[in-house]
Amino acid sequence: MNAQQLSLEEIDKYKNEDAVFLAHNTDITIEMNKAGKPEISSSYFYKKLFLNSRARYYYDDAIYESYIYKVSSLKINQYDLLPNGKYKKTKITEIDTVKPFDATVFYDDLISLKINLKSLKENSYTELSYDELMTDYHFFGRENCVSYFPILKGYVEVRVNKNIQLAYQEHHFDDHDIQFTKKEDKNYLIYRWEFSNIDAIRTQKKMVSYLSVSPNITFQIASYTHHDEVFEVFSDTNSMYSWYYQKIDTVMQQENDSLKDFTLSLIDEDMSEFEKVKVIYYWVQKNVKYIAIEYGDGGVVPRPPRLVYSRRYGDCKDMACLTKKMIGYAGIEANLVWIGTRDIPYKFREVPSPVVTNHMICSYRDGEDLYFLDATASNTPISMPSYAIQGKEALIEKGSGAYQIVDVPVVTSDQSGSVDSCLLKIKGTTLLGECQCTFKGFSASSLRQMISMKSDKDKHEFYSNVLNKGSNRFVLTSYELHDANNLDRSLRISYKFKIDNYIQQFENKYYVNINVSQYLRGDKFDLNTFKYDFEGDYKFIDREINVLQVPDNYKISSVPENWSLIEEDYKFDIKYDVEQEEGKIHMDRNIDIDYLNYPVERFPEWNKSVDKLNQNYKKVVVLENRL
Amino acid sequence: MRKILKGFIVCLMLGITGVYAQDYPPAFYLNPDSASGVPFEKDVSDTGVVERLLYKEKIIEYRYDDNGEIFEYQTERWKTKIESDLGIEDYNKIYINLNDAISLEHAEARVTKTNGEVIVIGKDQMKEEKNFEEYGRFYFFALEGLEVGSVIELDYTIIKNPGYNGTRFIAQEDVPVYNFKFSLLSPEHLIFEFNPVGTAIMPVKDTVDTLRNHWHSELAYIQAYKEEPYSNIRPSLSTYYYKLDENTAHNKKNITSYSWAAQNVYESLHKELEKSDIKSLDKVSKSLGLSKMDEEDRIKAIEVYIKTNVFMVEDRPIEGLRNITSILSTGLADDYGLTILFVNWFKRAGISYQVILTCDRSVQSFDKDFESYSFLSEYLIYFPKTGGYITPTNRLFRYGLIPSEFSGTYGMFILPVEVGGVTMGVPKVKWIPAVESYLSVDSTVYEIDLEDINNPKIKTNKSLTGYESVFLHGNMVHFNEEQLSEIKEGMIKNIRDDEEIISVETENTAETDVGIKPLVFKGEISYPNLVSVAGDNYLIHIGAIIGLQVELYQENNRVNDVYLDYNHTYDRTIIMNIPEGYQLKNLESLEMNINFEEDGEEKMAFVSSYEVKDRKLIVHNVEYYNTLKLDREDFEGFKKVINAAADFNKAVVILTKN
Repeated sequence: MNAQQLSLEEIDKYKNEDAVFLAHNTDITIEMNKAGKPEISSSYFYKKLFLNSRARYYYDDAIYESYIYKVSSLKINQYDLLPNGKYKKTKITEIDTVKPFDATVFYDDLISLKINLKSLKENSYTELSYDELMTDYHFFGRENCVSYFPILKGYVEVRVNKNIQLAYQEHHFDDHDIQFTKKEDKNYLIYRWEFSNIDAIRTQKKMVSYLSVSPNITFQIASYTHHDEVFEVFSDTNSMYSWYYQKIDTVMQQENDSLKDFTLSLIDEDMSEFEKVKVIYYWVQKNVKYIAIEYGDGGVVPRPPRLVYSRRYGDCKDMACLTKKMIGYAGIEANLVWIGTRDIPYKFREVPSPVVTNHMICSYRDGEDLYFLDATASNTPISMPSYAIQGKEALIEKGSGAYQIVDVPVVTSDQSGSVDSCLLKIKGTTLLGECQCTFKGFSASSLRQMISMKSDKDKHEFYSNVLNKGSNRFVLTSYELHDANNLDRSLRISYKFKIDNYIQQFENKYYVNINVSQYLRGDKFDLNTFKYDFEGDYKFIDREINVLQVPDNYKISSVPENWSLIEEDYKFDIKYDVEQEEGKIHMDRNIDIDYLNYPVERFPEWNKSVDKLNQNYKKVVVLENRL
Repeated sequence: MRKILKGFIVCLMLGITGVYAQDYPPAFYLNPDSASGVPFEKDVSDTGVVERLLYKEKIIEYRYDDNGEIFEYQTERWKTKIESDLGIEDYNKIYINLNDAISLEHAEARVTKTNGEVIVIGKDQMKEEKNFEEYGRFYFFALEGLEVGSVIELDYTIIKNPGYNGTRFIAQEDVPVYNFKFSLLSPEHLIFEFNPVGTAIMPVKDTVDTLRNHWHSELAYIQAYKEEPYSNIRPSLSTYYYKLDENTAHNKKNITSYSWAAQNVYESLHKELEKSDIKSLDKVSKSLGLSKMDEEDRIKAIEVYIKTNVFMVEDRPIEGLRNITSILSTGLADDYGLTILFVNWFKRAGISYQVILTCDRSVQSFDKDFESYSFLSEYLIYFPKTGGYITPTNRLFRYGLIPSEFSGTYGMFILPVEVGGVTMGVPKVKWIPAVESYLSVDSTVYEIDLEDINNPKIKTNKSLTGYESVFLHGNMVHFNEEQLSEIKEGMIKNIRDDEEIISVETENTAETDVGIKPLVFKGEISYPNLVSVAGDNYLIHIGAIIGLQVELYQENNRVNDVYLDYNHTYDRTIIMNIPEGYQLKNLESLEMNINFEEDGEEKMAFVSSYEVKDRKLIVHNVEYYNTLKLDREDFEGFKKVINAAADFNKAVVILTKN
């Protein structure tokens, strides 16, 4: 039926898709306005064809506008196929203005224009077009050459007045059919990217940022000429830095005595410089709550530190500026940092523009050591950056015109994770354990964060879930926390547990699996559904040490053999050690995850490794009654 | 679905509109702090919670404006003291819900810091969002300067169009509430009736405030509600139901009554049909051959036709969603349009039926003695000759099976009664029975192949009926490839361990199979973890095959009654060949028989048995639940049955060399 729109090959290729874009076109014009500044306006046109009866579920569509993007001339037409083979056109006029609700942003000026289509059927198609005016050319820009449905044909065209210098970067064009041409006429340079047959991208949990796997183009206005004078915009990192700097300069110059007095009351003169910084950083982390308010220029200009201090809330840049101000009042230099979290794959020197960053923190140097202070990351110790910025470039402010770009380190696996050590005893078919579990690094931060969200009433159940192992008959009989609130130390939980019905007792033998937690058991990638590289939060080591006390009158009749597996970026290891005399069996299981991201092409290898781990987890200890 | 009720509420309003002398100030200006300073002693159950409300007040006042229009003013006030860091996170963002409201009359929030400094946020400092996606209209703001020890007070009044045919206010929260006060005020001639639920107590009429009717009810303490597994707290929360009963100015009594509702709903559903409607209905009836069928088959044929040909759309800008001819030609209707189509077609086809209005029993408990329109929100249709029910609006359900939340509860049945040639709707509150457990069965046969002992294979044949299949069955042909493969995998790969799919297929997936044939999933998995190695012997984790079961091992000190979504049965058979040279031991762990009886009648059970035949082990277990509700005193009995399945999940047999 849809042969009118698609070729037979296309129908076959997209048989599992609900819709395709027949056109996905972007026309951008960059002109000089009357005020002598660049002005960016875009026109979008999308033609979407529905391929099956599930079309009826796609009854709405939406476009977004904000302080930066103003939408106009929104037009939508719906075309439905009639029995006579002709299409009936319906103009859609029902558009609701809706405020998208985002749990992470308390208030911003993003508006959704929600389009209510009529009922769509197989072979229906829609044509949607609108214009967009950018209110500040600095935020230009990025265009994706991909969508949540396949694109059969599309283009991005940028028409630039010759008084304006455009810079652009192409990302992840490999293996895609994208043709670039550059033309010129009297007043304009015309850049055009034409693409076809671009597969859909649908984001999945725990996948790497879609920007690092799908084709997109970033743009900047490098400079423009007005009345023969050349104005630099984002020609390089210097000009980019000047723009960032003037956003914070005025705010940071405001002084406030009560904030200063308060800062000085937090520290005392006996403290080292590092200790003072730490006290201030931890105070902001704990007492200023993250509430993002991003409307108007509030998206880029921070609120004054005195206001953030008295309100006790702010977004990342508010908290970064407060931290710097307070450290400054203590007579110590701290610096603001602009950074992109791991969602954004670009580098400052390649893409000198605001699209590289989405976060602000503060930095402090103590001799050779550089500390990244992210006050939004509650419970992260000063010794570590927050997990979301590991391996990313940081743009560090050093006053007007001076800055540094440095790489945030990726924290090594030995600094995070947990070691769970237990003395195990057998009572009938019940397994009893007396343990201490030590959490460090990011594992400790995330656990502390979760604990802070639990009321006392819910805590027992919470720890029971955290420490749970063996089976759902696991019962946490007692627990005690150590160093719960000291971020500079590991968080330790000493606890006792029992698991009824865990041990098989038959005739004169006990069968006991002393790999109780079986960490990673069955943790494989689903090769059919997981299509992109996996993004982990951080590197870590998970270790379990169990010492089984053999009951009196029993001898050790069989113990599994040692086993280990070493790959370039992860290691599995299980060791047994028997003390026949003492009647003890030691088991030491170590899993070292030394990658942050794991590539999709190695998923089969990982799955095989986990299979091998499982084969070793399946081996049990056999104890035999001597009598 | 309230749309239809709104239609006739208007006629009632006429009775109360008018110009009445009203020389007294609105209630929300009075005593803004009347109870806020009252000291209290903490209740014993109030330990370990994050925060508590020190004071809470709800004032509902019906008032006339200068034009004689009546409005409802709803005032809410509360006060809390921040006791922890978590409390700051809970209270630093405040939202005032203005859905269904005309406007926010006034609002003020106050933070008193530990140093005595007071920060006031007025209405003009709050942000208004007219249309939060999914949530609607709100005023919202962030509270400044919060620290542990801060005291927060909120006081606001919204104006609404009056609702008085049975509305409710829920007083209980997820935090403990002290010094709670509920007040309802109305002009002298409007008399309200109340029905308190849970720990709420009957409001009394104030003897001092004689300028108007003034009822109030005070509760010193309301415990925080707590969800538990297999519980549903919403219907029993401390709640005030209220409704207008009398208008003495017009001498009208029993204003909120089901007679009114039944009559109006009946009339509005049975408006005289257009000729074109009759023609279209007769045309489809003929094509289906209805005239040759018995009554039950006619009902089923009409239902299948509508549910496979008409798609329900809601709040969409499409014409004709309630017009029979248009619905039959476009295949689109809204919920009310579907109900109109069903009843008029049934009538035309000579089928006797009764329309029912009821409510979701997981939200409200239909009170058969307190007539309130808040219980009349969902349509069902009952067929007195065959005894069956249908839901007109949910296309997944077929005759005999209705959404479980509308069963096991009361409903208002509308009986058509002919009086002098005119048919009228007469209400009768009756019980809507739940569907029995044998009609919702998950029946599964597992065949274990131990040929490769390190990588055993399991063939599964799963057959689902009733509530066990209903949410999938009618959708099987509408799912896309991705959804379908996720569902198929989920059915066969339910151990949630290291098992892997080898194959999976489905049977009886057509929409016309719904309610007729079971939905079948057949597949094969490999499952290495089925077997543990113990020296020369093997442990077979045979119970693991049925998948991880819900358990209540650690559920003690039950607070709530037991609530089950629907009655259902699991029937499982596990067949395993015994490898040559080996024998099986520890088989007695497969024998179980746990049941629970109420008043001498078995309500639920888990029974497992086995036999060994021709070197095959055959395990059979049946688990069923045939009650929707148990008193909390019976929780232990229920828990034993639930845990029996979880225990079976851990059953291990030992394979030893001969």
